[in-house]
Amino acid sequence: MDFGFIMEAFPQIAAAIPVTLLMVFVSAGIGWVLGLAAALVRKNRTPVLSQILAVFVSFMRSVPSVIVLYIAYYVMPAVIYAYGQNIGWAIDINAVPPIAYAIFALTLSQAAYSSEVFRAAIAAVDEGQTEAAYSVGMTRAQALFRIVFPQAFATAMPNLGGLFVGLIKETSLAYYVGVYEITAVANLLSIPKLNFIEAYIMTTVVYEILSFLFNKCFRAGESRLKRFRANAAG
Amino acid sequence: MDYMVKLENIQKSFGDNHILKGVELNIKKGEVVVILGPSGSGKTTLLRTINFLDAADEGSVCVNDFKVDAKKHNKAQVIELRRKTAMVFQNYNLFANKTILENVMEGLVTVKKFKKSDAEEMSRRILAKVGLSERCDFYPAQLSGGQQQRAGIARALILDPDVILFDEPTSALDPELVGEVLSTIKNVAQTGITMIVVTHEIAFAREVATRVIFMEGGKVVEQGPPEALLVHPKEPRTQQFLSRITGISESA
Repeated sequence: MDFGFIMEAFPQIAAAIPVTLLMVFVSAGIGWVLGLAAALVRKNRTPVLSQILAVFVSFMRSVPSVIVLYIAYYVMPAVIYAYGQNIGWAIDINAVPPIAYAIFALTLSQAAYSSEVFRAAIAAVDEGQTEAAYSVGMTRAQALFRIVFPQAFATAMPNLGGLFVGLIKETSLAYYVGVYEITAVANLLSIPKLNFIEAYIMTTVVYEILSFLFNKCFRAGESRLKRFRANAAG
Repeated sequence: MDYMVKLENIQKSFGDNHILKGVELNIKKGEVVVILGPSGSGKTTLLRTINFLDAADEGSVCVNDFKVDAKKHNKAQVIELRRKTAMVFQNYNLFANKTILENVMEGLVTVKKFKKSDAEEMSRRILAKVGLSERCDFYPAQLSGGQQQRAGIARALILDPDVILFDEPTSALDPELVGEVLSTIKNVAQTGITMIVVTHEIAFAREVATRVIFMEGGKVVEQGPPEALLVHPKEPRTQQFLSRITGISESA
């Protein structure tokens, strides 16, 4: 074990945590909003859009994330470039930083996975809750935001927490498209003197700590959202 | 003659199942109408067509001179109609994520745009009337069925609706809790508000109703004052139903 390497490399690896967290927060933030919207569209069985989303979700769930990332990184620039030429714009593809493609791919994957979580959670809210909201004269939006969503989120929390921790780990794939996040930095530092074991131990520790902390946050959020349930402390 | 509730030719099917076959009903202000009938007769569905929780296929619903045609209604009309009515549900359907106080305040604050402090004061007063002062800060899951249903009645009452629709308000309750809910409904009836109650409680109908309606097969079979309909029903089908439900053998 090369402790000198660990002492030297750890601060640099830790310095990459913000890059990882940037990908996590942006992808989850945008992806979950899209996922919730997709869940509503599918619940309402909106024609055409609902079927398109079903195919999208099933595609995203069956293709490995790294492939989605490669598609985003290698195929999208070509498409954007061709589109730019079409409308007479010279778009400089190289000006787009790799992290943008990684966030794009991760956002789509979060949208797909979270839409299934939200769909199940919304379906678990008793139809009578919506009917009662309508009976006092609420609009559909009022019924959703004031009655259905708060109950659905309480149900969705454990799964969202799992999704979130999974996403933290998934950001390591961004290494493949040249994003200097935790895994990438550790790997690159380990190459000159072949300190792979040390590097992997450090990345493990960093991911473990991040997962632990965010798990705690989700647990706390869950018990707050579930305070209305009978078995919660009243 | 002006009616508070006027239903014209209400037709409703679920798939091939023709539930309501042209129901006509006129209800005056202050009437307490009890609807009886065997299960599957369409009485709950009829109640739900009044506030469009189930939109009728044909016919029209008119509440306090606001008429909505089933065939060409829009969202705004439905919301307007729902704001003239309130409903008490068989399974209470209190908002699970809100306390009892918040449940009652919700309609005032969100729908009627009352100031929160005013809404809270009114809600506390009405919860006291149904005997739930001590339970304001509890969540529905922490209350008994009878308490939940009394809160449900308070939630409907506070909106000061033109008509309150009761959908089998005691059917899901333990027998020993039925009494407290019925006496609450009785008190509501004495305030002179227009009520339509779907129930199986014959004794309650007899005591509280101003008119009893017997439905079967999606139609009104017979209606009249409670004494006349419950004690001396004219239609053989009504006689048969009543004798079964009260356990007394047929007299006719």
